[in-house]
Amino acid sequence: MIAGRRNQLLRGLLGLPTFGYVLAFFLVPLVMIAVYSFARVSLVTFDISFDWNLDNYRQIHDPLYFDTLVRSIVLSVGATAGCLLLGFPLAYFISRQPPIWQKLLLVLVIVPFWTSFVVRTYAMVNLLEGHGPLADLLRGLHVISGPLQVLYTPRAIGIGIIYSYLPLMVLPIYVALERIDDDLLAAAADLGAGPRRVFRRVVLPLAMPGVAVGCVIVGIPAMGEYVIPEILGGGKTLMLGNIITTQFLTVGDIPFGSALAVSLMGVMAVTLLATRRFTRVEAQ
Amino acid sequence: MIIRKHAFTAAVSLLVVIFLWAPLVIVAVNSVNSNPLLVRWDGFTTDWYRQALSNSDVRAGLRATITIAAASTAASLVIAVTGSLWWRRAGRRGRRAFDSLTYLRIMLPEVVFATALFLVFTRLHLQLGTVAVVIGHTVWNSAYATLIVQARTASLDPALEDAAADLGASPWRVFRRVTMPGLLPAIVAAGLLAFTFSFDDIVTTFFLNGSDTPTLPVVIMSMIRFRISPEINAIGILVMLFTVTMFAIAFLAVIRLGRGARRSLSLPETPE
Amino acid sequence: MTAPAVSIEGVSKRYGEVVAVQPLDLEIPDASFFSIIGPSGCGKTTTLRMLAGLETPDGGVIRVGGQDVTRTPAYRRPVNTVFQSYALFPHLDVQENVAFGLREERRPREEIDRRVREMMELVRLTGRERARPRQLSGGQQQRVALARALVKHPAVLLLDEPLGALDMKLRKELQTELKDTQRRVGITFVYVTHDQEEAFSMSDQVAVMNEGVLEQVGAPQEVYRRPSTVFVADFVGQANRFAGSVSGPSGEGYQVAVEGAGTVAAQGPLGLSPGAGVSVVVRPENIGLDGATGFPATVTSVSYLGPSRSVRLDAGGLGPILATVAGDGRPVAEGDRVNVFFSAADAWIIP
Repeated sequence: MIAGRRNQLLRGLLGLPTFGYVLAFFLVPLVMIAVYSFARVSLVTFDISFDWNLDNYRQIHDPLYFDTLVRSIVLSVGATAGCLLLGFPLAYFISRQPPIWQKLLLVLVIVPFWTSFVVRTYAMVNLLEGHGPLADLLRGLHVISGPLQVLYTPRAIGIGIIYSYLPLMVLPIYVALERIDDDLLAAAADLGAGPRRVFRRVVLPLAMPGVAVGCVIVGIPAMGEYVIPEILGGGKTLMLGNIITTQFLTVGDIPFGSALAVSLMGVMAVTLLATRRFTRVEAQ
Repeated sequence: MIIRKHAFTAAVSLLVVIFLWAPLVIVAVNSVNSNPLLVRWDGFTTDWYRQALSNSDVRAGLRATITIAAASTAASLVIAVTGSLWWRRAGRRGRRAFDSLTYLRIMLPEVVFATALFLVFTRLHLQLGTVAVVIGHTVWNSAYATLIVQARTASLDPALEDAAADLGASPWRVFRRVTMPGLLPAIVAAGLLAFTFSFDDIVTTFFLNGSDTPTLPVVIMSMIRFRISPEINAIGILVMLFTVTMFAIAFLAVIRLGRGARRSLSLPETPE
Repeated sequence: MTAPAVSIEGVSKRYGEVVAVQPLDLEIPDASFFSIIGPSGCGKTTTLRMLAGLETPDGGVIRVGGQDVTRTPAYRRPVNTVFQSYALFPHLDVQENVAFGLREERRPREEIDRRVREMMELVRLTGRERARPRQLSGGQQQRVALARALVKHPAVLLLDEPLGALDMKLRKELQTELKDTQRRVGITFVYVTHDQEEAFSMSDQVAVMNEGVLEQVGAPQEVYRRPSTVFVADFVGQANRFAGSVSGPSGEGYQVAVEGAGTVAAQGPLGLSPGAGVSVVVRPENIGLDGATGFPATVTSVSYLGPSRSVRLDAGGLGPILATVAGDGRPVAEGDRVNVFFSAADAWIIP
């Protein structure tokens, strides 16, 4: 823009806060946690010694932890699927409305998301309670007879994740679908495609990038969820995030906690790589 | 609204919207329900609000939360604005690295880098507490703020800055008189958003707060853990009103200021 | 004669692999209206931005009023610019936009107010001081941009296609206005445009650029009548070109043997030697159709343009010929056989 080498230097300095910060408080800590995952701790003295062993990773195979790892993945995948199942029809419905209604419906979806995360999760406790309103409703419909037995089970965690992450699924799908012109659907119908085939051959392919982005931004953070299992799992049903926290803050087995965190990063990296093909399209 | 054509999706949509709002309605109703066990409606009361507002843990927590949120917001904005300006003039590879780091900070489960930061602080014998929490919050908060400010810089006409320089403004003056006013809507929105996210956080705070005053979400969390008290509903509604107001202001700021600026930044194709 | 307002010596600029401006030498006379024209991507805007200090040249020297400003940043140069998009500050009103540069000079308040007022009168916008740029019409915005730059009393005013976004009628009006303003303030205007007609109507001198190379500099008439390259001949208006070779001198000009048309007389630059392959350029309005001499051609199409008619001709091996004849002259129709001719004074040789 402006002549002079001094200005070029000045422009470079603008990058310093971002890159300096990310290096010091993001990249270095991540490398450090990876290094510590190969260390060993004495649970008597809490001394950490580095002998570059894989014991921490082997320990993950211990059924106690392995079950949690599997449960985290299953819950995250299940909740992502749930979000997709509920979110796709909603996103599609919104995208087919006149612009003013679209905005109104989006506000309806987003405003609950604006409320405090803890409070929102706590609200689910109220809803799912054994003698709560949902139980009353289901009893009234003769779906169940006794109290509702969902709270403090993995199912409650799944419902909680779906509840908290649903808008994150709806928005990217909506953005993808909103671009589909009504005329395009009419054209497909005109060319002889029935409603089901229009959906399969036109709507779905065009929505794919949005679906991929939605799945990634729901699935990955959900895997490390801490608050939802803590509140809705009642301290019994745990996820990876809770075990990591316990290892760090209660047990003090930092190397093992680190190995768990690194595994979580690994699962995330694999997921990202697997969906890269779809998400890249969206980024453009 | 067009419903008949999309009966199935309309039905699902209705259920989902009810699902999203029902818990909040329950919280709101219970926050003014005078039955202390909340098993049935016993009439209207504001006791829980009064109790919540006089709870010393809540008040101390609120103060701590606001301090942390304000500091993290300020730091995030500095990072977001400088970073976005750097990004605007960066090459293709620089941009890609910058963007990857931004998305990574948003995508990575919070628990992972919260533990990583905890590790750094404890191994280097740095003190945990408010400062550490602010540093932790700023990791992801700065990423969100960057996304918003960056979008704005991308639509800022570089000719305006050229014009200012051409008229005799030094680089700093160009920033003060042209760039900064142009970015203002985004800075306001990013600031409010960062403040709210920080205000809402639990995981990072949990790891890095050490023995400093617990923040409001942590206080609520422990209240939940130690049995449900009707007070939580009142606090919940208060926090909700606060965050919704913040978000609404951010939202309007983006729309209002954004629309005005966008219209005036466009080429002179619409004479009166 | 006074020192040139701007002198450019060997200035070049490349972006990575792309050469935007080849080493360029140019002198712009003081108090003149000077245009740089060329197709998009020819380097004219880059040249202008280097003059403004918004781009740093890779080599060479730029002088303004005799002073070397090559390394001077934009904000310290005695040069101001009217930008293509006007670049009016959307968050400031008209008054504040015009006062922007004077405030950067830290002028006293009264002086700023006075000079802004004078400038608003000059561009006839008095009364619109409190309007925001987006509330103004395109023409008004253009005048604010002009006022904002002129109020600084620059040694040189740079204009980057300032009329590009306006409709035809408004353009014509503002062209006259710009030329008047330039005469009144007596400041050197350097005007960049891709529209040669616009440049011709206003300029004392015109520079034609193509692919980063300066092809020709001169008064509009000179550039039009005596183009020094084929590119200039084609870019500046329409041109009929006949390939041939110099067969010898003839009076003040030369004889050129043109295949399919015999020998024609034409003017040309000094020092052409016989046998050299050349192009003879004749403008359509200089082509006559009913000559006693000349070469035969068939009319292939006629389009009526009001004051004139445009006639396409086929002259066998010569390729298509374009002629512009008076609208009320002898009617010609498709298929007519005519004799094409032009006088030696209207034919120009390009080596």
